[in-house]
Amino acid sequence: MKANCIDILEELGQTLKENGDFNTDIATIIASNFLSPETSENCVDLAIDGIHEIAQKIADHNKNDLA
Amino acid sequence: MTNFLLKKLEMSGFRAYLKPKTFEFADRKSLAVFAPNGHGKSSLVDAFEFMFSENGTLERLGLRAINNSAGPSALAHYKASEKSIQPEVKLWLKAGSSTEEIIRKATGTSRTRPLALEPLIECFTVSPIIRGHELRAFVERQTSEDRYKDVVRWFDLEPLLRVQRNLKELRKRLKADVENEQPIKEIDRAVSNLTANTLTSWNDDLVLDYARKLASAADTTLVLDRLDGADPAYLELARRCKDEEERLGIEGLQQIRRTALSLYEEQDFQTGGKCIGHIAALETAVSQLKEAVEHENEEKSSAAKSVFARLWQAAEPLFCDQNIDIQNCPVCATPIATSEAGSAEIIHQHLKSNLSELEKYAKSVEQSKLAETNVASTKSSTKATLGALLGILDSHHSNAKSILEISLKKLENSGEWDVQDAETAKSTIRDLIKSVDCKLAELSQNLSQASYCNVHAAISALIAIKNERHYLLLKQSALSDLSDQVTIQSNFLIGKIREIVQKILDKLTVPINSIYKEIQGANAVAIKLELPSDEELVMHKLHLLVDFAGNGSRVQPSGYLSDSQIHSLALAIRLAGIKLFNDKAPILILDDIVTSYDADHRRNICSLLAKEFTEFQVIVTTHDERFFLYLKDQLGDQPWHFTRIIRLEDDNGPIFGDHRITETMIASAWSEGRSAANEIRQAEEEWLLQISREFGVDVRIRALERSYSYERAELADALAEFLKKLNMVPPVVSGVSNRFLISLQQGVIENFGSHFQDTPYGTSSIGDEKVRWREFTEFREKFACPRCGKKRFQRPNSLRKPVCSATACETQFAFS
Repeated sequence: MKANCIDILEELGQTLKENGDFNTDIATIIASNFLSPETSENCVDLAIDGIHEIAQKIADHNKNDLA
Repeated sequence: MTNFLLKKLEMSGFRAYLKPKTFEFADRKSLAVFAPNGHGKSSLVDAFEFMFSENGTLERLGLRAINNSAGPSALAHYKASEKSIQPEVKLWLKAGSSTEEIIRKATGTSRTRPLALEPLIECFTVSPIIRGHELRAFVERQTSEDRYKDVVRWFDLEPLLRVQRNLKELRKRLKADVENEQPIKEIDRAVSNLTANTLTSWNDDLVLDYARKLASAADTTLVLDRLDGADPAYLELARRCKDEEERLGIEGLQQIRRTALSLYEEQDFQTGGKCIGHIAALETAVSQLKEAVEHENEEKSSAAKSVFARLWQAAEPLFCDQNIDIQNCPVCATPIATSEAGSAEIIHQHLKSNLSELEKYAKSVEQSKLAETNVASTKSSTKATLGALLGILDSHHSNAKSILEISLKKLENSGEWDVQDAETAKSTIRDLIKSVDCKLAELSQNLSQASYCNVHAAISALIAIKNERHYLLLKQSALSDLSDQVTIQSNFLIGKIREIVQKILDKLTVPINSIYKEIQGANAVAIKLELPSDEELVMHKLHLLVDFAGNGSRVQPSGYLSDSQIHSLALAIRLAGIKLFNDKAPILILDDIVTSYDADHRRNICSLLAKEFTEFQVIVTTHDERFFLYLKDQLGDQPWHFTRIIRLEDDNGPIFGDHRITETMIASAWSEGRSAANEIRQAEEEWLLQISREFGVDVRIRALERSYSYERAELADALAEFLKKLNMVPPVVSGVSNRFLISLQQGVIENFGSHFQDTPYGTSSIGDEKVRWREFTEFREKFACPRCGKKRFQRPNSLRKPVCSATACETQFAFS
């Protein structure tokens, strides 16, 4: 009767990544940090760092474009 | 299906049980114990709780004697020590095909749970023990957080709910990052610092104006079009700054000045002051040497004019060299021996006597030598300092440098340095100092005003801040877009997880409702376990709600339900949990769970146990006789053992009077050499009660105080009357000497006394008992279906005669 959370989470991760409307970088960060069986205790910190990195890359890209 | 079975339990010196008491579950896995309060029935449940507990204690005792908790010392019977009985509980646990005896001591500080119990404990997702006194608290005092903890653990939902919490946390923190104005404020602060508070925050136009003003202060021709590193005016400014940087700075100029002044300085020159420095010293030394030489010459001439002039001139070498070993006169070559003096020694003596006249000359020679030394020394220091000065002069002082280089060369070539050279050097140094002073003054002025470097640095800092701000805005914009994506995706996930979790919760809600309805009847309100709103998700709550008004709006149960409804709700949740989650260890232990129920509800709980928990091994204790009798009534044909505690003995423990006597129990008593008279009598009464009920005999309604207890005479009379009316006469049993059976057979009933009479048949031998038992069982056999031989009957109200209760038989009863 116990819920098979690992399978459920994996399925949710797949659903997220395969959804064409979703930003794939964010989907990957959420899936790997929150929906993986080996979720770390500081997964929120890691996800935040990952998102900041992406934001930085976008900013670098736009800055270079402008330059 | 059963993986585990509690096969046997033995207690000694434990709680109310002093002497060892064994409960066998091998043949009949379930047990119901009736006892009035204070007779030790809960001690049986205590034994299970103690065995299953992690720390070897009971929840109500606590781990130590403090406040209301008695502590683990209360586990032991108060006479256990006095009687030298080791307080302990033994459990024979059957797991699959093997049985293990597990002992747990109830004394000492280390009462660690035996390892052999762990596999069973692991299967208890929900505690298998339900105590009646906890039920109300389970609903009323259990907070949403407690419930959440329980249910989440039961279903192992934590990983899913953790995802929801993490996503919410991510959203919250990301939103905070997006809305964080601190970096922009820091930029404003930097702008404020750079512009000396002229501007308090960044503004493209105002900052450009400010930068233009800075550039214009350095040079009005420098007009910035935009605040950019590629702006032509800025590039020009950068070039000039570089040029400025390449020139000597204040420190360098001051060093030149110091070195030059150490060579030559005119102190208070305007007011006729003196000149100092190495060159001045050199000049002085040269001048002094000249004077000394002149003076020496004068003294020499004066000495030559004296009476010894000629002699002196001739003897000078002798005087000077102190050479007394001379043979001839150095002047006239006259042999000294033939001279007037006659010997060099006499000449020496003569000269000595006239030495005072030569002293002045000697002093002047000495002074000349000193002056010469002084010239050499000052020349050396002048050369060194001049060399040092040449080393720090840059291309901006090339003219002075070339002149001074010549001066140095002349100094190095002894004899070439003259007054003219000194004057040239002095003049050059004077000009150099003037030039340096001018530059220093200019630089000092630039320090307070807008030098190119200063302006360039300020504008460069503004450009850097502009770029940093621009980058920051780009990043914040990207972060904002990503945050929106996180919100969209996390909402999607949270919604999905919520759906999944609610579906899982509904798996529990369905049996809860089913059980609740079974107890409370068809009009029972609907119960729902509901996750809190998204906002509350992180608060680890799970709401228990009921549709009290039946209109779909849900409310907290404790404010609306009656006492028995609250109990039923708690019981339903616990039972549903046990049934749903403990399937690998189907064990249910109920301690006095019907206190607040009326007769109907008690019956409903009995039928619930009979219908829903047939797979379970159930241990029930109750002080409610009506409930106990209901259980017997509904589960009598199931593998249940019914027993009651008739008294509590201090030196022994609870004394049982068993119900549902089996042949095994009677044979066991005989094999142990003890009388089975009580058991036989009880077996007779059990049969009598059963057949009377199934035949539907008429019994007078009893007085209120014993409404559910029948005397054997009453039942026997009613059965005999019933059979008489139907003209049914039980067949005679050969050799019968049992008054009870004879009465029934003949329909003449005596008063047989109460069930609990100590010696119901007086003192009879085991042999007599065996005869009596045989006669009874033979008599009982006569009450069998004439068709299928089964011994269970029923008589619906519409029938006069009972019929076989076996499905698809229903043959009318008749003695064969």
